[in-house]
Amino acid sequence: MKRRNHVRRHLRFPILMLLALLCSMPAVLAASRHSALPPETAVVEPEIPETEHQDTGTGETAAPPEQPEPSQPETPDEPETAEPETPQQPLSAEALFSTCLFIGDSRTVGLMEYGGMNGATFFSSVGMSAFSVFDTTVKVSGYGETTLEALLQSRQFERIHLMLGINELGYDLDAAAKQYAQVLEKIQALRPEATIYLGANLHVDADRSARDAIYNNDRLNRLNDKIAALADGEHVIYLDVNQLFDDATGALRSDLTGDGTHVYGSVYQDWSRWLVDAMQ
Amino acid sequence: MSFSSIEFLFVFLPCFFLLYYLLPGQGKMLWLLVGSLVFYGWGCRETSWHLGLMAALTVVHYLLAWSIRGRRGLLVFGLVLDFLLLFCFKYAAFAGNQLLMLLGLPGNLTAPPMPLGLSFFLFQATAYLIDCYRGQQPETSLLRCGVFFFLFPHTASGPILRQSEMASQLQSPRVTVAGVDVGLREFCIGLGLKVLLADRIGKLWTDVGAIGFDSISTPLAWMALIAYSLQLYLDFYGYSRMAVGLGLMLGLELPRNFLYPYTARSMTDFWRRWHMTLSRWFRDYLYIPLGGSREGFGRTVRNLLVVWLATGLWHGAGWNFLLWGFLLFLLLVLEKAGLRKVLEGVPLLGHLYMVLAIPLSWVPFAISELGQIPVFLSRLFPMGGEAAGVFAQDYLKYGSQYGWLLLLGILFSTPVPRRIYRQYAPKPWMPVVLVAIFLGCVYCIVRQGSDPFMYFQF
Repeated sequence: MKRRNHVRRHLRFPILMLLALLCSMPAVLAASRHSALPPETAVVEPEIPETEHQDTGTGETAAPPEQPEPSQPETPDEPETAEPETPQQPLSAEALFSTCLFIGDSRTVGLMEYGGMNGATFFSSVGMSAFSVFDTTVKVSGYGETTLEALLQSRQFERIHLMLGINELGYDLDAAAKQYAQVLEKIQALRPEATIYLGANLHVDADRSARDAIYNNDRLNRLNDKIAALADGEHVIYLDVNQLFDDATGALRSDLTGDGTHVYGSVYQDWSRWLVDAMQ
Repeated sequence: MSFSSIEFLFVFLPCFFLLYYLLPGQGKMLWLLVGSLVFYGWGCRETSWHLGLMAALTVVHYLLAWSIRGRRGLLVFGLVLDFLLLFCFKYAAFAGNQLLMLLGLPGNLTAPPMPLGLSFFLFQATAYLIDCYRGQQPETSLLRCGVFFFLFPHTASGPILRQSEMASQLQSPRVTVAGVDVGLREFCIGLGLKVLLADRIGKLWTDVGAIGFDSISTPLAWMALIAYSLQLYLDFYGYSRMAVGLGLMLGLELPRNFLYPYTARSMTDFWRRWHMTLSRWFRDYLYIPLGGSREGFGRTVRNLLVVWLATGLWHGAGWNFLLWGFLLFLLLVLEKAGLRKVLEGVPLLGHLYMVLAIPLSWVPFAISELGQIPVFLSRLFPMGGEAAGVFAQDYLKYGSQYGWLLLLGILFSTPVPRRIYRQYAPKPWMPVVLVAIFLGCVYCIVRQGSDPFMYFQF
């Protein structure tokens, strides 16, 4: 009797585990079979789980809701590389950034945190994609938790930067580009006066590109080309920062990145300086 | 096959144990060998000749052990074979590159793909030879010898087994319902420690690496270092508990590797609690044969230097590992010279000392690029420079994301959770809690591996 109780007591957990295993097996095996990535890629992701509500927390003062008239009306005519064709004084970084809204994913978060772009407004979070950008609320410095639509309606922005794409890279690229175009249209409808800068997605380094079936420069370039096709050179301008960071093979320079996907914090300053020149 | 993978948890485990429990006596051993070979073979299916190599090595050691008692020549042969193999796979490329760079040539040699668990295997093999040379009864059955070397709970990362502790167990493993119950619980707990804690805490270190050490603030640098220390321990500790748990499920008692090392009050004590099966190898087969601490302080220092440089090198082929070993040597010599008495005498002092010494000693272990070590140290100790990073509130951001995980990690480095568990283990709801932990782990594993669009967020 005692022995039977002893056995029964010790069988409880193993039987419960076996049941749990059997019940979850169909779902688990089905989910695993959908895996598209080779095993090596599941390693160095610096993703931060479940943060769609990125605390910007830069402590910057909010830009005044209504800007005085824009300083130079000629900048929307600029092609992608910056040539200051106007005789007017180039705008200071601070003046430029106070007219800018940056929309994007973790690279834009990096610009926000490490780019030293005081005065700019950022609507960005890790994992942001063209499919989620209008459905997400993000805490924006000076505006609190807001959606993109509310933010665009709340004040004027002369320059709107959009850098999305890498989080859609696993999907069909035409569908991703179509969604991207819809996002662009919506932004233009809400802010018709703004110049929109479409940022090329940053390349990954050669190592990552070689071993990743999805996050490689071939796919990134194909998506970037589709994005570039949306630019008209006047009101919608395509900016490709890869010319600043690429090595000879067209991949992100490996000395600029620790994880093959994001540049080091110290590099974002170069990126923001390049943006200032590109926007002049 | 990692223990925290779907193929292990949902395919290998159920299939293997179903048959294992049904088979009688000797059948169990045979099935255990088959299962272990399949486990190893699956792990090295990209380089399948590794399995053949390890199997051949096992046979060689089995045969050598038969005639090695008292025969120095055979011992030397066996040890040379083992260390030469280890050198070729692990150190030849590094050594070659250093030589090339000395000659002014580019050092581009890459190491060949190393068989899974080779360092552990070869240390276990050399221990086996030395023990048998010294009189230990060698394994009479090739089957049991194969199990001794290939036993799947321990092939990836130890524990390093001794013939003396395994021989009688392998003759007749004691499978009991209680053993299976306790073993399965240990396995679940270990899995939870690894997947739910260690893997997630480790991301803070990875995040900081992606930012670059020169751009982080001092508080963030310390948080990241603590995260690394916790991840390293909880990952290895979790794995070791899974290994012990699996052993119990097989009816075998495997040695433990950890005894709450982060509660130690001196580095000397720490290394008697951390990766114990490796420490005992170095103690029994290197330190004591060299003379240990019995031949005067000078000799002791020399012996410690040899052992700790070797320990550093065992962990990896790199100057940073040698630096790490040397750093530990310095601390241990200081402690032997009298510091230890002070630390153990005043517990608070000992704990304070270790709160600094543990994470700081991991710095050269964690950072393989020597040039980055001073950069990181300058962030830890700004010394009149700027303690704030480029992103002024970086520690607030990461603190809010990882703070509670770090606190949990620190808690699980103490014996407190274990004591609480022991108290409530017999309760009828404990199995439900453990199953929930298991399912939580499965969820994390599936998310990480199967849906890149969902989980890999940039």
